Amino acid sequence: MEDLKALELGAIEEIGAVSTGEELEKLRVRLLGKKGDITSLMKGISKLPPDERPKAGAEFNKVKVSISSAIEKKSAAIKAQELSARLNDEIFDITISGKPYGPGHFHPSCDIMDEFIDIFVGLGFCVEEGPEVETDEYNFQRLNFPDDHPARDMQDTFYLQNGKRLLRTHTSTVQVHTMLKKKPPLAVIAPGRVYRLDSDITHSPVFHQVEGFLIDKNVTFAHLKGTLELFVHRLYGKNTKLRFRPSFFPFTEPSAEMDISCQLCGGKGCRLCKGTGWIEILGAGMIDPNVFKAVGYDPEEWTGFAFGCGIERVAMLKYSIDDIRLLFGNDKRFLSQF
Amino acid sequence: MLVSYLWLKDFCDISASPEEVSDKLTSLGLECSIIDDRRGWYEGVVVGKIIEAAPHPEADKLQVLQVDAGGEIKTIVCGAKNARAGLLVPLFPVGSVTPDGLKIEKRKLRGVLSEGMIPSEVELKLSEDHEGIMTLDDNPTPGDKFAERYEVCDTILEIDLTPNRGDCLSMIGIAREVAQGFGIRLKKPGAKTLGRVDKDIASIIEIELTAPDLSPRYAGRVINDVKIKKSPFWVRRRLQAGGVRPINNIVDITNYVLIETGHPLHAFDLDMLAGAKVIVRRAKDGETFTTLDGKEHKLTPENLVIADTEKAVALAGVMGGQNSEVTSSTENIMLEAAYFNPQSIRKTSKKLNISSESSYRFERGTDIEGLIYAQDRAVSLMESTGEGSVIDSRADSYPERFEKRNINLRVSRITQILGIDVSYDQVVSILKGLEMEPEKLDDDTIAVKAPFFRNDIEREIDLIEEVARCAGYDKVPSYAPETPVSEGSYSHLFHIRRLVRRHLVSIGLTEGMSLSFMGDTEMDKLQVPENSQMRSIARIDNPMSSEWKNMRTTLLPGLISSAKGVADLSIFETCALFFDRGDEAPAESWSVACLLTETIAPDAWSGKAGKRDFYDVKGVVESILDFSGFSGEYDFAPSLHPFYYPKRQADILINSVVIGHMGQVHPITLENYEVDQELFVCELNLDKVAEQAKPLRRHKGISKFPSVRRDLAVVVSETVTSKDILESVEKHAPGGDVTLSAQLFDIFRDEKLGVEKKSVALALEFTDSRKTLTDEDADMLFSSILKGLEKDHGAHLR
Repeated sequence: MEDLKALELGAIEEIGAVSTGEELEKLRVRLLGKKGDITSLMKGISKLPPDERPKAGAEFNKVKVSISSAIEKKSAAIKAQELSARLNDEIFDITISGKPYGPGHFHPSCDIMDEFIDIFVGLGFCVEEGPEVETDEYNFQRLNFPDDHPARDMQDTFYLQNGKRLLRTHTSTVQVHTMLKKKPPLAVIAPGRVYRLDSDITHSPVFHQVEGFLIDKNVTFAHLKGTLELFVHRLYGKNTKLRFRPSFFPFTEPSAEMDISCQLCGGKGCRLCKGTGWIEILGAGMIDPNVFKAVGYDPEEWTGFAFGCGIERVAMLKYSIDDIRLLFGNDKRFLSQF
Repeated sequence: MLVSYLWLKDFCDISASPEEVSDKLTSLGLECSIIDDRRGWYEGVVVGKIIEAAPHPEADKLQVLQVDAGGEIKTIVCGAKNARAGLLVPLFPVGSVTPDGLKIEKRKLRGVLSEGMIPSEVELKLSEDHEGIMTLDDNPTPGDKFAERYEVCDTILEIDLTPNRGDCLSMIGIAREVAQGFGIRLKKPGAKTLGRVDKDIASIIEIELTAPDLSPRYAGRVINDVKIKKSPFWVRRRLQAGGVRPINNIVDITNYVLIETGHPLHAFDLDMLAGAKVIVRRAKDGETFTTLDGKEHKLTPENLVIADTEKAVALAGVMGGQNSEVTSSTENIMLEAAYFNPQSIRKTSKKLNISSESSYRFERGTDIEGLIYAQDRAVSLMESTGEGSVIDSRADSYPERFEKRNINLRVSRITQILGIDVSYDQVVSILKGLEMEPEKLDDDTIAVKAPFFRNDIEREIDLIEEVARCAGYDKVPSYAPETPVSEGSYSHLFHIRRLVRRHLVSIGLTEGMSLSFMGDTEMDKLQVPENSQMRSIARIDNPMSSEWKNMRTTLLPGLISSAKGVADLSIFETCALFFDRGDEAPAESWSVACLLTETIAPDAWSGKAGKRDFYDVKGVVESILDFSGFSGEYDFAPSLHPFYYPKRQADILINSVVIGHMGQVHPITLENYEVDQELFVCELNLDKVAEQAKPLRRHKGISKFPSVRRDLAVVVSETVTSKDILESVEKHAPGGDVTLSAQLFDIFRDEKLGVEKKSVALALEFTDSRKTLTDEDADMLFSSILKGLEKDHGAHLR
């Protein structure tokens, strides 16, 4: 029995010292194999008196279990170590490009338009759209552009059907359509294509606007400022400053142009903002009482604000695009940059 | 509108810098920027007097001048022909720098040392006049500093005026805003004449208004014995600053007063007017008239003319006539100041395509009462510069006096619109600063009379805007509105469009965008048949170019053009299309079109370029429709579009409604667009897609029992389509508790199969909802399907 004790202690120590799977297997055979140390020591049991044999057998089993469990533990440890070594020693290039699974590219103008719409839908505005072919009545008269008024020079117009119809020059037409169709309160965002007779590197005869308007009782210019501030802060971050300057649009009064602090220089003045620190971003104002009258709303009961923003201009500022025609060119080399 | 900062100082005592003035005007709604800044220019330049001019000993074209520069005599070598003794001139002494940055140094010119330079007006950047050296008027003293003696170190502001502010098309108008902005007083220059000729104007000229609706007031004054010459420097300088070219002293004064007061004036050569009469009348139909610029116009009674007893002498408010213009031989002047109906002037200016400084102001509305001041101001200036004799009286026809508008302004309404509280007194003070006449009606209401020069002030809301801009938009707080609950964020069509765009980008296509126009040849290039709806084209009356004459009826030409010379392209566009409907408004419908090139650029993984085919674009179409919720509800039918390969094309249907088409672009169409690779395209009408009812889906139980798969390969004739086979399989499916799913997974062609034969391999999967199918069961089902295929399509097992 003394020998057994010594064997167990020796075996545990040896198992602890082993470092490879191979050595461990050799040791297992030497200790637990058919011709192993334990087996040969067990042969001694038969020499014991019969009444001592069961006890001795039990002792042997205990040692056997103890040794084999030590071997298993060691084996697991060696495997884990070997796996870890194999994985850690591997050389692998993670910089090779991923396998192609799309996606393609959103058009920068559409992307910005989506962003605008999502912000306003999130504020509770709903999307309305209108036709792109309009009449003078909807594009001008109902929006308080009198006949033969110089304000019409602000928007050079494409005509169809010998002047009977025209391509809308702004999305403000959607105001008229929506107001005729629905009763206030209204909170509407109207994206769409508009047309003006103008073409150079900053003007395209076809471009996009997003128009927004809100009509309710007690809507004020302060609400216009508050709404646009929320919008600008979502789009450009909370540190962006806003400036409202008086301006003129026939369909709003008072009218304003809104500038934001230049995103490039942070308002210090640079080439982009022509040294002013401000970038003009949209036109806005309180809906003119004449616009309400033209759709049968009582301007004493309802007030509202409206704003309109040219999408291409925003896209050009955002991505430093200096020629608007790139946005309408379907050129892969341009589109794949976004 | 160009504004001279120094000229502005005539009208108010500004202590603010040009930058501060610019910012103030911008904050008042007059968008302003500095475009020319001459502060610090002409340093060192002095007044010189030429006391001797001698020929250069070595050069015929040069003179050697002795110039008194204020006690010091300088020798200057000069090439100008007009240099002569006695002239007063500006002089760049040695060490000074010209506006172009040229440093003046002592220099020998053909052996004579020159100690400075006498510049032309061009070299001083004061005018375009390069006829010799500049000569100075107004009797300066030699040695005077040029920059101090003359108004030359100016700053020019440019104002981008909105069309409502006709009153600001003048120095006084701008000065009024500046004065209001800085809280200072506005001063108007005097308009009194000195020498007076007491003579009855009626004996010289009589005014007859035959169309008072178009010309409610016309006033004339006469100046005799004028001497036509060049205007003094200060007049020319200010005209240049205002962007107007000087002509002669009389015309220059009318322009000077136009810039100063905003009121257009016109000077006639009195001796060219027949019959001592000025008749303001509508033109006769077909009457011809030649304007100052030499252009002949054919008129109609819509146009108003100024005429004498024989002929028209001016196109009222737009441009004078050649037959009565002021020339170097003019001796007597009739000076017109009138008010013309803005709409009428605008009509004439548009119709005849003439725009002038006059018409621009008249169509924005002028001051019917202020025109007298403008006329007198011009007369007084003419008297002082033209040395003429002014006839004291005025011919003034103003049959129906205009009344100032009366507008009631409620202070409470200002709060209701702006969301700020302003006091009654503050409002009154702002209105007074704008030369309005406020009068208290009650504690809330102010009765306001707007001055005649503010044609844009008609209603209460116009006054509220005035209060808002003068109080400052920055004084208005920002409040988030309580947004009304909306009934829904967007329409179904809008939703489908967004869904499709996002899907197409996510599967690897790129979103394109092009103009909504197309040229006349596009339909033929694409090979669109004569009877196609695509030929219902809405045309633009006034296109910008021949390529942009028509509204698009298809997105295909734009996409096909974009593939020219591009190796690998997968692009789509969504846009509205327009179809002519005669007298009605064109029909507008939303379209999505996709284009795939045959070639695919090699990628890092396969290492080789792949190829796309018809089934790629079909896959795109299917994925669009599946993603939009129409899975299993759409179908493809053979079609006959001439712009596709005859057999490689299909119409796309949902619920038997054609919603689009797709195919491989016809080789001739490709040639027409100079595209040298195969293209696969589709175009879907999204309005129609959005109109289709989506199927109501019901879930089926999932069988607890395993399914059995059998592969079936049959040889059939090439004419038997995949759809034929799958329909036949479905027809012979067992039914009952057994469900069958069949999937085509291979098509194989080989000579050994026979002529025009193909082998089609199908994976059949049988599932029984009540038991596990045995091999025998599956074999039986398999053979019944095979028999069906044999019977329907002459198929046999491969």
